[in-house]
Amino acid sequence: MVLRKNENGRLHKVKEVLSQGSPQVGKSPKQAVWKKNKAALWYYQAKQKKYETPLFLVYSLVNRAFILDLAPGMSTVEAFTNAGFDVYLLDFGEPGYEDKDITVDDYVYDYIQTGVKKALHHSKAKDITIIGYCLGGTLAAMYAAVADEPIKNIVLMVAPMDFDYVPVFDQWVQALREGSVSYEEWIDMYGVIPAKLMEKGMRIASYPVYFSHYFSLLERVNDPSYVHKWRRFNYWTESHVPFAGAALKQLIQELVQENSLIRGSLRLRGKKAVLSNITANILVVSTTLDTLVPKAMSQSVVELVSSKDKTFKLAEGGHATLAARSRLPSFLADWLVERSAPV
Amino acid sequence: MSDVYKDLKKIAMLLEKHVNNRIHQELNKEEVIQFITQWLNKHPHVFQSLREYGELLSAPLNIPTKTDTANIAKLLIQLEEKVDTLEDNVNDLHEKLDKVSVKEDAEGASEQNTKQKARRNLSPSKQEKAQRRRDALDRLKYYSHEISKTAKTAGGTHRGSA
Repeated sequence: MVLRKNENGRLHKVKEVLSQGSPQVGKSPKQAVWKKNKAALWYYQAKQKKYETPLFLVYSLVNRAFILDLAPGMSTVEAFTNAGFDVYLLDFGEPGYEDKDITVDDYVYDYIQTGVKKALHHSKAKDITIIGYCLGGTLAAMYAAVADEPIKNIVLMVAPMDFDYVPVFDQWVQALREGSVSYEEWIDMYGVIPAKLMEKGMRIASYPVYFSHYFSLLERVNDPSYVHKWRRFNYWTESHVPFAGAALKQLIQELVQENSLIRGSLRLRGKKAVLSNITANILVVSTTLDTLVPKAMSQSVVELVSSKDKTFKLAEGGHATLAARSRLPSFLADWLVERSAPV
Repeated sequence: MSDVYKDLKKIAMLLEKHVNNRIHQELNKEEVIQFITQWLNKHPHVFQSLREYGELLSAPLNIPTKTDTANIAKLLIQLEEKVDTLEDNVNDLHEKLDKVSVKEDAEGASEQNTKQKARRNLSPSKQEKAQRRRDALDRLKYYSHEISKTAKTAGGTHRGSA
């Protein structure tokens, strides 16, 4: 009888958590130093500045960037500023139908490169560290391959770059490469792929059926700090953004069909974007439980860059673990500190 | 009791993994790819036709379409890019003026001692010229700062909140 009462109480709490509205996210103090179209370059000032080299974070085009700043005490951005780094975060925002013709070239040159210039001008720093997450990491690598700006360090976190290996749907990829699946007209029909469709697509590629997180909540519903984090993380998993059609077509063609970043045949606005152009210190990170971007999709980049200082790290965790952290993992903190100019 | 929920979670995770692997396998079959590809190929043509009729009807009915609103938004984006370019140019100008100003100050300081010694011999027109040059520089800096401020405000009005 007592047990049943406890169970009912727990279920009632889970129901309560699920019925609550969207949690507040992205609360770290920030200032917009540049805005373009829907994108914004946010500046987060170091609590006590210890390093001259600022960090420039590039987040994915698929999800919303607030995963890097979920809440005070569970924010990667906060962890960086606490460690003494000035942080610039490029948030691409949510494209509308008018943005359907934005290409990967546009994202690399007009958004990332211009953003880096603005950050360098704002910080008055001599050089900069680029940190890219997921597809933002892929774009950051493309940018670093064509950049004229002084990039001191580059960190690529769980970034899909090598499509010679695909974790799922190899037959689909084969059909795409043979040209038997025509996706262009379908993408053109939408212009901009709606957020819900992006969510379903990513879900099919990773976890078509996803319910285990509810059991995690059921297990720890009496732990307020866990519930606090669970709500924010769950909100992020459902917060996809629309995807510009032209960029999606280009990514499918260049990365999935031709694997051109790895093969050295990628051109951005006529300029060769070869990874051997990268000479900055580089850290490539994959995680052990990442089913979406396993290490085979990132690791080979280390061999292709010209950097003398290059490291590959396989960290514990899943795809979003490194983005949603309250403290910097020691391997990252040590790597950055050793390669950033002190004040 | 907590162990029961821990076990439940483990079972759920295993079941989820099993079901997902099965779905991935089923969706990765050639016949499924063929079926979905056929559907994908038909789907856009139907909607393309409907959209064309919609565009056609919108003219006599005087109804704006999504393309019309996107075109207006594109004009705003172009305008924003122009303001951004203007802002960059003003910033460049500002930096150049700062450099000139620093150079002028340095030259002025080194000349000051000499000038003080030779003040009596220095013609008033030379002093006036130097002062005028500094005044002009200050005015230029002021105007470039004002333009920069205006450009930023103009950018902020149509960019909306992010």
